[in-house]
Amino acid sequence: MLSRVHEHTAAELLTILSARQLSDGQTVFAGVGIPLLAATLAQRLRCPGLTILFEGGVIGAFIEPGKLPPSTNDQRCTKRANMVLGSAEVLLLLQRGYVDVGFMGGAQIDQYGNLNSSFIGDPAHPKTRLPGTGGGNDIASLAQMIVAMKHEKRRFVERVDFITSPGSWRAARAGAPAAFWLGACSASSPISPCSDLIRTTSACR
Amino acid sequence: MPETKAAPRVVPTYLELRKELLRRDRSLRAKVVSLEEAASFVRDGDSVGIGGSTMSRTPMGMIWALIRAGRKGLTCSRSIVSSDGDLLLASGACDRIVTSWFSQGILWGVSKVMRHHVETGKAKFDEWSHMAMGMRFRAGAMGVPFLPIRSMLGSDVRKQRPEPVEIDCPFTGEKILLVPALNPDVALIHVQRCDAYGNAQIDGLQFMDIDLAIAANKVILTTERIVSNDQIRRAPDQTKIPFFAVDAVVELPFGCAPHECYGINEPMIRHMEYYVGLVNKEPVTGMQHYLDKFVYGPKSWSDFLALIGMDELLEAARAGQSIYDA
Repeated sequence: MLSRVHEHTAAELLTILSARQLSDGQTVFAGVGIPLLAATLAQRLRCPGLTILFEGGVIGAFIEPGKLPPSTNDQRCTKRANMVLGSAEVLLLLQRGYVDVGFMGGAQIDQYGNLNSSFIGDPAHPKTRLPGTGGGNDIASLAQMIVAMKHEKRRFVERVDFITSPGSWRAARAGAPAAFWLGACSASSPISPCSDLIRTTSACR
Repeated sequence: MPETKAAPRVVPTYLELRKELLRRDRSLRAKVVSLEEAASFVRDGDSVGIGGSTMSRTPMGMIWALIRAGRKGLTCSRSIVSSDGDLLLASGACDRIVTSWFSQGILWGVSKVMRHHVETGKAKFDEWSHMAMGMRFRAGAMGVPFLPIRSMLGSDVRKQRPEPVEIDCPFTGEKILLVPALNPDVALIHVQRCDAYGNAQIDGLQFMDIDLAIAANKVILTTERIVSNDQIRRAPDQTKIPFFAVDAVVELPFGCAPHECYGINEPMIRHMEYYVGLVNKEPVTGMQHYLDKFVYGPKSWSDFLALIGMDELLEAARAGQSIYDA
């Protein structure tokens, strides 16, 4: 896709930078879009032992080039996977703690890592009703998280209009298990356990 | 008892749940009916659980039939809702969607039909986390009033919902969220094959369908193919829903069109793009045009498939079957 230098989209750049955050041997819960693309790229370039989970109910996905699934719930997600199971089962693996990294996008993010994918404006009288959390809230609450999104003023705000998926600070205060990442840092953890990572396109300007 | 205010209507008592089950004829009997007859199993105002997820194994044919039958006031719950939700809201069949995500698909941004109905207050969109939806159906299937989960805590998604209850775990003292069981009046599920009794085999992704079938007080199956009971017995490990949970069986080839059915067809993307282009441009008039032409217009489901077109159908079927290629 990336044939000539300086002729690439922001999404392609973001995919490549995001892919570099992953390490071989990790188990990654990937959302649709750039996370799915980046996890697949990492798997093909440097991390053949990367295990990708999809909320549709897939463990160990290997997406075929040119056959990207339109969501993480399509049959294309299951091709050459290790296991196909129910959606609740795969989300419960996340709750049990088998996922090293949650990898997702969002409509709006703030300095605390809170993500909004539910409402723009006042939720009682929203300017825009967005599609909602999907598995985003579960991923943010239950795993370390990498967020990949385009760096735009309207997306990177001081405070999100609505906390769909809480950043670890917020989750910790509420008693959600993300408290682990703030309190007890695991030495074996492949990425910095004390700060969730936000990857945006601005890093390469 | 500080949290009793919402409790009685959110979750039925165990006695009510068992009484509902006793009312059903659970004998080993043939249950094959027409699509139109199956629609009469759903009453106005029912709580309807929908199988599949996003554009996958959506019981589109059954939803199409409910809209044609003029059902009103349904509350529809599903793990993730796609264009099925648009059709249900715009036709007036449904005024409340309970789900974790609702738009046509990530390819097309935000559904203008969903936005139109939710932002104007014509319909409600109750948002839960994906795992919460799963645990609500799971609790319903287990015959317990709730299950504890560790997500949603500290989020505004939790704050928006009056139903869940936050407690200190009696064993560890940790905060935990109790989500109420969801036992829909009726579940609509599409499968690849089942027998006339309703022993259903599902290939590929199961989503939340097994819990949904067991939780619901009535189950309508649509199936690509009705097979003999002997064929079911040859591979009983493939049977995912037992006959005694099923109330009606409808044979409906390409019953998920224009959505996907694992191993049968991938989504009919050209039709979906035509649909999204039409309704996201004009969420009211575009949608009315679509309903008139593709839902109310056709004489039968085959007639609807013919409108999608043979080229697109065959292309989607070829891609669907390719999942079995090495």
